Amino acid sequence: MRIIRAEPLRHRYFHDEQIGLVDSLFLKRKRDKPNFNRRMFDEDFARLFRSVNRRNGNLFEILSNDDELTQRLLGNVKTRYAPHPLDETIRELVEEIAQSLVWFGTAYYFLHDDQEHGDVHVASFNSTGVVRFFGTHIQWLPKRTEKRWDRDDKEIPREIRILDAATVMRFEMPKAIKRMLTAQNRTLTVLDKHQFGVTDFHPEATHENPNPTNHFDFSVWRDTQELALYRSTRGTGWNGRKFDSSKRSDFFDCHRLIRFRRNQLMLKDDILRQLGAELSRVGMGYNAGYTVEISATEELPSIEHLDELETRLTREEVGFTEIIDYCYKR
Amino acid sequence: MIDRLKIWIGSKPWFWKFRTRLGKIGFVFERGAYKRGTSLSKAKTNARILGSFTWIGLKSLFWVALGLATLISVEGYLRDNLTWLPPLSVDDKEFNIDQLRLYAQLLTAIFSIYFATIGIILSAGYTRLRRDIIQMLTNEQVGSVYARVLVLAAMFCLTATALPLFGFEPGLFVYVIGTVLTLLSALALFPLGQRLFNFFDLNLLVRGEILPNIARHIEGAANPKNSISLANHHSKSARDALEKLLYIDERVKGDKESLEDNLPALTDDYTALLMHYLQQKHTIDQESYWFPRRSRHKQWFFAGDNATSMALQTSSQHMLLEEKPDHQWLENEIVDRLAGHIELAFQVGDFDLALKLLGRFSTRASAYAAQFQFDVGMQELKRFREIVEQALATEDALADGDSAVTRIGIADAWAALGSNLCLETLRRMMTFEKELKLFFDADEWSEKSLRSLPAFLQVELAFIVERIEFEQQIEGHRLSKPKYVQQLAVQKLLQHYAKILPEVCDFYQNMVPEFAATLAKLKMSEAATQVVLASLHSHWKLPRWFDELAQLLDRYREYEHYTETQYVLPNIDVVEMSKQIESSRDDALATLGSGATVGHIFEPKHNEELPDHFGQTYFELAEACISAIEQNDADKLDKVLPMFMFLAFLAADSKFVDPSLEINDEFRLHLISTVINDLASVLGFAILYGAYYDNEKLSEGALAKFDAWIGRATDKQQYLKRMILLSDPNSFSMSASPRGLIRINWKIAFEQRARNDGFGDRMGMERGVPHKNKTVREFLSSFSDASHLFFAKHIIPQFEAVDFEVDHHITDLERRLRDDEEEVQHADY
Repeated sequence: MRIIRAEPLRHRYFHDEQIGLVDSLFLKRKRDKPNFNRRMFDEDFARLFRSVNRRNGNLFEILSNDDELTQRLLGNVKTRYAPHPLDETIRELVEEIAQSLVWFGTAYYFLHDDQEHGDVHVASFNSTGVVRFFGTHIQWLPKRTEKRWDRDDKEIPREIRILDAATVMRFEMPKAIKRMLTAQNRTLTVLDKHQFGVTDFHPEATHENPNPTNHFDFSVWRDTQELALYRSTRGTGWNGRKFDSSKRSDFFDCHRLIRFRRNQLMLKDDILRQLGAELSRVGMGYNAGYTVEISATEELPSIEHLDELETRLTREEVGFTEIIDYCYKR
Repeated sequence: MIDRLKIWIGSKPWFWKFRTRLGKIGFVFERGAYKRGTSLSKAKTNARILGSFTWIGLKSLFWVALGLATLISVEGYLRDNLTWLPPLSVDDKEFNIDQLRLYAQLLTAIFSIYFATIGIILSAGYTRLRRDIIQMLTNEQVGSVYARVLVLAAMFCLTATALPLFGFEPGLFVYVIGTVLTLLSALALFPLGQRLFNFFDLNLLVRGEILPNIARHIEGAANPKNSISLANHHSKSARDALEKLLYIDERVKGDKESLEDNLPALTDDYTALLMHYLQQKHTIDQESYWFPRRSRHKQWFFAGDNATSMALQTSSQHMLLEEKPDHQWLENEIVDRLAGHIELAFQVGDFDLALKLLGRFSTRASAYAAQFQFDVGMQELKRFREIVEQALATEDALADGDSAVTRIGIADAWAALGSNLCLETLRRMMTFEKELKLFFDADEWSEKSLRSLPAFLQVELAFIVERIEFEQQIEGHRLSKPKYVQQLAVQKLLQHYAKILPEVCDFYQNMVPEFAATLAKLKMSEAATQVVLASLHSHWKLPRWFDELAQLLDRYREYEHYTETQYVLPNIDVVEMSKQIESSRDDALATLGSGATVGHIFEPKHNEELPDHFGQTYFELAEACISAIEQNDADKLDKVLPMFMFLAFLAADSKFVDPSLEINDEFRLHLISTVINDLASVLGFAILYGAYYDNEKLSEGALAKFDAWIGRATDKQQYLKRMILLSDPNSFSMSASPRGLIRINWKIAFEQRARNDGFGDRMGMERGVPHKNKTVREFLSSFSDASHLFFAKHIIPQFEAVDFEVDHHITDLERRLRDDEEEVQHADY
């Protein structure tokens, strides 16, 4: 076991890790592979921005007292895609953070000083095994094998890396959304588990009993499933990607859609707030009085407008197309 | 939490087993309740029959007792006061009683033998009937109660006689009860005998047993409290009963002799069933197995993600199989049967019966209209039309007079019933607005409140209720707002109207004319003319109705709140339809102008049993001529004028001149005069309007036809002279023409038009602009009629010298017109 002060390990290969008894205290068990409904929800919910508004470049407003530093910090964010203008970068960063939040509940980034070019990179690292003790972050790395293509594999012993708090950025899911998601996901998990349960109920025909009695009632079963899905998604407003139900009126759909987008906007705003705060914090290492605030511009949909749309919808003053357009096209 | 628990439980096989068991237990209870209910109702009917039966028994017993008491008291009185009647000895008394007993036994025996004989004779008929029908016949309630009384009485008496064997002495009470039961059975013999006579009257069976049975099962199937199994049982029983009805229907139809009585009764039965059903139908659950299923296959790409993925997972086709209930099955079946009856009536050549059966449609038509079942009615009508056409085509057209009248009646009835259905439906559309408004105002959407709407709307609007209930279940309160659901409802309603209205138009535009054309082709011109003439009334009525309908639709349009394409209300162009109806009226009049259709009216004899085709055609054509002239439409005039002229000459030259016509001479002259005046007026107006519109073609064609006709006369001058002389009613009578009103209206219409267009006349108070045409000017400034103008302008110039007395209006007008011409000629010089 080594305890070192170092940068976090960015890329981890879980199948190469050998997890012992001690490790499992710190490493949460690998989360079950999200199934069907869960998976679909995660995908839908993490998509904070619609692709349509990718074109114009003034989605975010950045207020800071040191524009150069902002440019330096955000200019080299290692996102999934090629380098972009600042606006695009923030968009992708927010989306990436949102994804991590939805999947893992927390997201970690750290500042990587590139000494050769004198650049600063913001890069993410996996939140598994990262623990916070009284303000210091620890990354727990179990014993693992490093595979190398040109040489023999190398065994690396267990490591505890103590991370530099000044360079680590931590993002958390807002409490309200977290509560909502846990409640929903609990039902979704159960649903997913029994999703294909129908097939179990058909008793096999045997030679002695060619026509076995089947007590299973599919319509009752389906109604229960459907009801559970809609009840559980009431808070988030997710539509379950169902478009074939005749039971849902447009009012139902629109109310749900508004709620879903509203939750997404809340998440987005919160991430932007956290991003500003964290950037200000880590930026102090370069400029002591540095502050930055990032907020969404009018180009993106706003919660106030959604609320207004909802009240207008109940008063029947707005058409469905307008709502759907506002929710999807912006 | 509860949801998760439910899903978890749903994944356990024991839950489903448990659920099935619970369902079975519930079903046992329900079955018990149902059986109890059935036997209770049966017991009730039996008790009612027994009650009435006992009442009759008591009444007759009273009279018998009264009679006996009188006889005894009279005898006692006589014995006390008179001496010639010796008192009876004990032996005599015993003998008398024995004798009475013998009478009673004799009577009973005779009765038994009599009925047994009838029973044996009739039992031969058993073998020809189906087993279950026989069972029904024998089990029929009335019979069984009477028979049970008989059996009970016999058993009681037998047991009572056997009592001493066991050491008991039957006392007075047993004797009394035995007597009462014997009396009752003596009474029961009579209704039993009655039953024997009409034992094989299947119509009674239908009315007494099968129809109430079906009605009860319909109610059972409609009761929302019943479980699916019980409702299914009701549906199945109803279908069985219906099947029996159909079997009886076949039997009755096989018996050709008594069709005359049986078919109308059966038709009435079917109609009653249909009416009851149409009133009850919408209370039956739309998903109930009362409606047989027709399976339908969904397409993979349209079936929705879940269904498709599920189907793919199991590689099964059944996920995409959708079973749709057939909501029209009973109506279709009954309509089929009803048409079969009429067809049969035609097949056996009984036209009166066919007409009678056809007439029954009128009661159904109003029921169809009330429930917006227009399509069923129209389907029936189309079917009738085929049958009628086929029957008339195959039958010998040269039948005797009575049958001919019946045929015309049939054709007429068909057209009248059709337009009756159409008009009733339109009326229902108007009245329904209010009901819908009330429903909207209540703004209550549940299955129960939906019941107050017609059946088709219940089917169409069921999804709204489903959605609202779903919203309440998921979100806790209703989300769909009134305007939204109202628009959806109105949309469905208008979609239904959009289907009905073109069909109504089509009926008047195509079906009736085609029917008339077919009749004309079959050389049944009377029937064809009757159909056309009868439909004219509807043509006159409909445009106004359509106007009102347009306003109604405009009012409905106010419900349009959401503009998305799937909510847009369908657009129904009523104005266009109204125009089509009007143009089809013109077509109808044009057919009146063709000889093939109206050939029969040239026959001199008038059949009192038919409407007067000659007169109506004559007047309709006269109006049509004038309206064509007023509209300045020479083509239209060409179509109708020849026939009108023909009819007018026919009337003037032969019909009213015929001495066999029993009217006095003055009236005869008046009639001839009025016909001549009508013709002259039409031609006069042709000249006048031709001049007014500056359209020479209008008058030229008309006058050419007139000249061609006159040219055929042997002595033309003489003929024209007769016309002129007869046209003046003052020359032969002191009274005015009895048929002049129609011509005055024409003249007023012309003057009205002239005044509106700003031309002055003699009557006008203000001075108008003089018309540029001389003829019009002269006519407006004179007191002449259009007929005078015709004579002055067209006839008088054909005489070299006028050597007889002519109405001064004509001569005056003629002179003025000639002067003007001369002036013009002078001016030319």
